[in-house]
Amino acid sequence: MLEAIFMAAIRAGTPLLYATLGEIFAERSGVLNLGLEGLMLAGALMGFVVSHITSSAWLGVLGALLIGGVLSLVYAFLTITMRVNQVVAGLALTMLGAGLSGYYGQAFIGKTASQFSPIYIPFFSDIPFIGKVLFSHDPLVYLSYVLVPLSWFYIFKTRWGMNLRAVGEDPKTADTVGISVFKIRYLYVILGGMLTAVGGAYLSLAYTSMWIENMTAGRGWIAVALVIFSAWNPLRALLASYFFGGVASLQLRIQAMGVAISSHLLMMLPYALTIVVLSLISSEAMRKRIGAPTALMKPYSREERE
Amino acid sequence: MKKAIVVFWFFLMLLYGLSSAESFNVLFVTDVGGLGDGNLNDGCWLGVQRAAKEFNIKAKVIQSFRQEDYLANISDGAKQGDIVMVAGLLMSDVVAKAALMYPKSQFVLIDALIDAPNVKCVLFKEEEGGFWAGLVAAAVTGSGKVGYVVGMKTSQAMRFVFGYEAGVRGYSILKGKDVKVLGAYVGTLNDAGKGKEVSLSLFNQGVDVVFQIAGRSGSGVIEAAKERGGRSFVIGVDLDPELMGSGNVLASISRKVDVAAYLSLKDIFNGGFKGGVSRLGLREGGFDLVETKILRGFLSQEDLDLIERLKGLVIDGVLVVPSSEEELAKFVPPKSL
Repeated sequence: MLEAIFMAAIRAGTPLLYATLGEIFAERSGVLNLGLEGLMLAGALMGFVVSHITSSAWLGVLGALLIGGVLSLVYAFLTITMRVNQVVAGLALTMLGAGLSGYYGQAFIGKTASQFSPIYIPFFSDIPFIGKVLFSHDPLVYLSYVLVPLSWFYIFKTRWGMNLRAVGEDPKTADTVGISVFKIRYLYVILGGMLTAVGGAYLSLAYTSMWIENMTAGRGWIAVALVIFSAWNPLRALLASYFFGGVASLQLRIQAMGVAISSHLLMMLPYALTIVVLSLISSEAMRKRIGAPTALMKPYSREERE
Repeated sequence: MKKAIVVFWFFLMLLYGLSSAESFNVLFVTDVGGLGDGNLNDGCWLGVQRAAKEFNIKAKVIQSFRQEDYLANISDGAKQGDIVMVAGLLMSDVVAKAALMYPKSQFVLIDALIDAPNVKCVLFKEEEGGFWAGLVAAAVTGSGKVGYVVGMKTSQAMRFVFGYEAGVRGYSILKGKDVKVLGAYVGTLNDAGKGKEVSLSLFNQGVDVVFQIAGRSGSGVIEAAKERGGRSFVIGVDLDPELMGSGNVLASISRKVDVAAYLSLKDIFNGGFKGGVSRLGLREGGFDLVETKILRGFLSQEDLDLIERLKGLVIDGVLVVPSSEEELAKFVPPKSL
């Protein structure tokens, strides 16, 4: 029973984790990307379509990476070069992703594609309880296990990570010491978009194996909240994602067991939590306290002086 | 010469008047799905055509290619036709508007409800469709536990559920079988992931037949059954043929839109147009059970007979299928036939 709940938490948390990781990179460089929902949808469809055509789920992931990269390149151009308001551009990206995927996806509803299935890992999968909970998943889950500590190490322990954080904290100073603010922001916004799109592809290639219009069902927004919840730290992002995934699947399980709590209340849980977190972050003081990148949402321009 | 034209014109009008005096004409306005959608539009048009043939009604179809055209097309219909036929919830707002704009025109709205004196709404008794599904589920289950998964908790979906529970109860009491019903709600109509998750937990608790009224979240229910394999089955509502064939689906309860369209026109032909609401159930042939090959293997002739006899009680009006929680609590099925 407990085993099944933890397993479900990881399954449901993995798409959130990819999106949260991606957004951490983008936000660490000082760019808020509210387009996660759109990127995930685009990734979910692209991943599914490529896998449908080529019969290779890995090529599907590659397709998701590509579309995530292209869309966030557009987003980067708008917000970094054109200095468009990031909230507005992010919402636009969400609508674009939802609209495009809905339109082009119509032909793929009800189709099948090659999907990821759980892989047994010798020794690890045999450990009682933990083996079942952690090591009875598909390759994309295992990949995320590796990506999390790697991202943490990269952001906090390497020179490149320091540059990234410097650009997000104080782009002017970073510029003065010879770090290219634009290059770095472009790089991490694109990288972030690619990871987010893989989160979407997880939904259509591993969690289920189908394409459905709007199948992300608000997960992109939850990921935006999770970034704050995790205080821009990949390790905490892992816990936060699994926690949210756990809450979401636990409520389904409670219902299925026939416990008499209103299903409306239970279904509200993850979203209520999201609203609370997002309201907290909207205050400037709170953002500083939990360590938000100082230059977040502030477009950088060399000519401008404060 | 002028006179001749007037006389000729008069004659023509008279002829036209005579030929259409016997019957009326119907204009069917599709939604963007259009003819060939294999669904609501096709079903409705089928029923209209059947009525047209039988009652000598003139029928015409106006296809809508964009949502923005709905009002214009329905207005055209109201100007040209005696009866304007429209189907589906998505069209109901537009029909309500048109009904106000053309108070003298008459509208038939299939599978949606609006309150206007010049609109005849035809709905379904979902509880009776659910009842049928419940009978089948109770007959098939080997574990003594059946389930349901609802996408959005709408009154329509809930009537399916109440009927389903009643069907399970009705069948199991007759057979002396003990069958429990477990259910869950996904909360959205397009989250296949959650649909799958919740069904897996139902199956894990020993449920072996799940009735899903979950829209596209229901694809996740079917996938869960497929993934578990063995005795994990799904019954759906209005399933696409593609989903039907994807394994571990027992059957789909389909609402007969064509019957709804046909019967509404038959009523009008026999007794003139009357606004208001009518609901089709088993008696009117409002539902059909579309089976897959899998189902046959699980039902003996005795099971089939029992299902038919219980359905017969509903059709004869002896047994009233509950459509609310209170009615379900009070529902007492017959102990013997």
